[in-house]
Amino acid sequence: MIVTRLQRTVVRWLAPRGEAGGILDDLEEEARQIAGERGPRSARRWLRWQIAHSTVPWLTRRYREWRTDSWRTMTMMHRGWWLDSRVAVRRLAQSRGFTTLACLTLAIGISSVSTVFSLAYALWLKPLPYREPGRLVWLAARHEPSGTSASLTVDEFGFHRNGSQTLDDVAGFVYGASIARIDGEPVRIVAHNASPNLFRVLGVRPAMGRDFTEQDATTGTRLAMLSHQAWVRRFASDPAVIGTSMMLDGEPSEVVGVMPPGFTFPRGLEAAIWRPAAFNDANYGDRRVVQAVGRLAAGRTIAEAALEAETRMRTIGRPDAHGARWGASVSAAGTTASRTSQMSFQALLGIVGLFLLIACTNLAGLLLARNASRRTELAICLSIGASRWRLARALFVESALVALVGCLAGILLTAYAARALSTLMPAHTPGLDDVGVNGIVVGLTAMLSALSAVLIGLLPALSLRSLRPSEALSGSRTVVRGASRAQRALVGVEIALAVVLVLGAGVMLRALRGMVEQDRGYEPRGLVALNVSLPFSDDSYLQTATRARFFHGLLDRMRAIPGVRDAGATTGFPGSRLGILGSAPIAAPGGAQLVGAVHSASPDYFRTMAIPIKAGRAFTAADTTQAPRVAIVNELIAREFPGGNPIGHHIPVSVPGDETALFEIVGVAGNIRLSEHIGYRVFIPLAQGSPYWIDLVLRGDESVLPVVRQTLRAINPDLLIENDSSFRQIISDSLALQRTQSAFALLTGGLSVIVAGVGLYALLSFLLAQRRREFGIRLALGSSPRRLFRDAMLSALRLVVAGIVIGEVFTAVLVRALGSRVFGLTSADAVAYVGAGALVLVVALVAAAIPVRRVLTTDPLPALRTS
Amino acid sequence: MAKGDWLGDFELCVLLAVRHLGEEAYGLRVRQHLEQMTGRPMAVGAVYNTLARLKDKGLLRIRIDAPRPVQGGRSRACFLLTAAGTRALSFSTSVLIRMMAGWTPGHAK
Repeated sequence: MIVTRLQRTVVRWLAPRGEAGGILDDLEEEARQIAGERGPRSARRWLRWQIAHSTVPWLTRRYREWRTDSWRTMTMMHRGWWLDSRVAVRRLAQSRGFTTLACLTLAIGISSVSTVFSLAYALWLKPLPYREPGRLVWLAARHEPSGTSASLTVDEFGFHRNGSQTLDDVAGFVYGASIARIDGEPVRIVAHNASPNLFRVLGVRPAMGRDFTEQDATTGTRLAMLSHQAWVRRFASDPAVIGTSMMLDGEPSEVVGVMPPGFTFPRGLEAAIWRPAAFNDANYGDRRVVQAVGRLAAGRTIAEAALEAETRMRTIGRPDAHGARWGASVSAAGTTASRTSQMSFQALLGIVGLFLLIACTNLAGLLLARNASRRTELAICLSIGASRWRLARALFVESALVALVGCLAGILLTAYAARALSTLMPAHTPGLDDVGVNGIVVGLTAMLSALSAVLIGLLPALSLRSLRPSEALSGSRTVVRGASRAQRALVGVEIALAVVLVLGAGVMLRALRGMVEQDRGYEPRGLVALNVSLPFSDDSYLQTATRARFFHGLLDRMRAIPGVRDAGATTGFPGSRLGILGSAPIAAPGGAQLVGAVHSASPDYFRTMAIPIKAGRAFTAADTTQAPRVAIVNELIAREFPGGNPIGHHIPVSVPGDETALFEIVGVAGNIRLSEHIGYRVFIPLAQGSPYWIDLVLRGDESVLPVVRQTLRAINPDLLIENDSSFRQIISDSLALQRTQSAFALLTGGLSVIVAGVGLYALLSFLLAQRRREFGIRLALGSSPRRLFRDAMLSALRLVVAGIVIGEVFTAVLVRALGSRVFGLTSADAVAYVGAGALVLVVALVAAAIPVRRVLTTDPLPALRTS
Repeated sequence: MAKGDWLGDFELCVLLAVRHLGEEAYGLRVRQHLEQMTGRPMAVGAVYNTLARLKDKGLLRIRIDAPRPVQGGRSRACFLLTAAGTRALSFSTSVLIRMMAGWTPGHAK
């Protein structure tokens, strides 16, 4: 032997399969020849040379062969999937009822999650249209004594703008409204005054025209930047709008640019027009009006910025005119999700997620039952050589197909449901227009479907592990029993989850009803409201006294309208979209420091709203502009005074446009609220603090509103009339989130009971079909049908009760964990638990009774014969 | 003749060797013959791969001969030209001859 053992091994490794033996023989033979002619050393050298120089050709050939092979394998696999799909389609088409039910259940389950997501995405999750929104922060002042936040003064704004290490730049703006005339009708336009760097801080460039420059704020010429929407609506998308002049508050302003579509800032009070403004003492004094937004320097965090702002404020911090110190607060500006909405979203997602889980559980159970009746067929496949993996794949393709159809139907359903859902929200919710199906929603739906396919197909595929062809083919029942245990567990889980959803729906609905009907401190029934604003451009309303006289005259005219039983005016009733008038920092003798929101109120306001005056007096016609300044505080403030009696105390009230003055407290009004927040409220007479706008409240039904509008037009055609609606509508709008949540809970709760019922029905149909022979024998032996019915129902009852108990325990745990965070959950009491349990029990027993009765009323003899 | 049927020069050599060896065209002999005719050492890997490729193309076929009646004698795979192989060979060589018309190669090593 000349070829060494090592060389043999190497050749066997490298040479193409099947050829190594022949090659080795040839090498050996030739090496012997060479050894005979030229000596063994030459032979060995020759061998080494041969093997070394054959390595590359061999490896190349092996690689080519491997590539061809694997490609062939892949094609085979591909063909296998295709075959499986075709078989699955045929199989699903055979049982149309099952397929329809399965696809529909899944579609509803998937689309409920997608719908909630599409809503949450449009309203809260979508990134805001600014450059790196995560680095934008709001800067506000914090009233040290009370901890409440407020806007900045011009001084503070300038201070934050200069010399900060953590912020690249800070921009500010002041909320404002202008009145423009469009088609002869005065229209309020939201027009904010902005520091010229605002758009640069936000990282957005105008789509047309130019950005503001620092000089724009100081030259004194009136300039305007249009929002895209304003450009489309008010200027009919005129491309030549740049450089034209528009009338704002009676003065011409030059349009310098148009912002890109989709740009809105700030969310919720989008400006139609931006005007450059210099924020200096001359314009704003020490009023807290500046909203400031900053951009974090690279690598800095909000916490660092907050710490720096706080520290720097402390160095300049001097008490304001009322002796209160102000700190700084910094919060993220790049997100729109408030804590409440985030929690609502999470709760909603939890509800629909549970429902999807029920749907999947149900489908898994149904498929399991289907496969149990196919065990003989599967066993035959196994015994003639199919691998378990191959069978599992065939089963899995079936569930994947159901999921695919469910996905497509789910996307369709989502499109409709999202539209329906957005009608539950108040019409002015920012971002509501974007609710619907988009790429992200489709992606999520597809992902959910894939997940569902796995969830549904997993158990049937796993059940193959226990499949013994010998047992299945010999008709043994043990396998069926094993599968039915899994099915029982699934139905138990379904019932438990259904209990959770029903209970949730029940308590949420009850809580919602409580919130609608709760005592708000006034009588919202038969109350309508609207905003009325005076034209800013009209110089005849410059004096507070003139405005007050005008509003009082207007109230008299309102009362004369038939159907209006009473009329009052205020600034900022609960839920009003107009702001408050000013603020009143109160140092109560008890030591409490608080800031009250200031509203003005006409003498009849409290009577019209049916707000009780708890102490002292209401305003009267005698509280005129010249009379001593008086105020009414709400009970929340009164509580802070010794003995709960603030009457006679003097409090400083600062109202924009007027100097801060001391007002004597003459009365205490009951607390009022829209939903949960009451807040510290200070009322001053309309005559002593009249702004350009009021909230008109009228006692009467909605039918008076057209006449009211007409009358207002007749008084002054330039009056701006907005937001006329009934209080019922205002309250209903304020509860939109809770209502959405309850609607979903109700819908999914109802559906989940039905789905669980269907699951139980299917399970019992299947189990009882297996037991027909047993029933037949028992009937033949003289057992009464009534007794059999009771037995069958009892076994179902055990399952149902177990499910209900588990569900209630689970709910109790949930309530404990999330109680205060999910709307309404805290009100879960014994009645709710028992009610939900009873409802599920009744539905489940009805679902169970149908198949049990059917089996018992059919003739058992054929069943006995076939076995 | 389609483009894929063009023979590489090494393939041409191997086919010519098989034709020349006739009944004796075993892998081992083919390799030795090629070495003799070209005067260069030939690796088994390269020669056998080409034989296998020509077989896959249908230009060669294999006949398994009975073991030789000596001790340790083994059956061998003998390569034979198929009809297609003969056609490919005559095509390639006739092209070569036509192309070489009027030129006699000088002495090559």
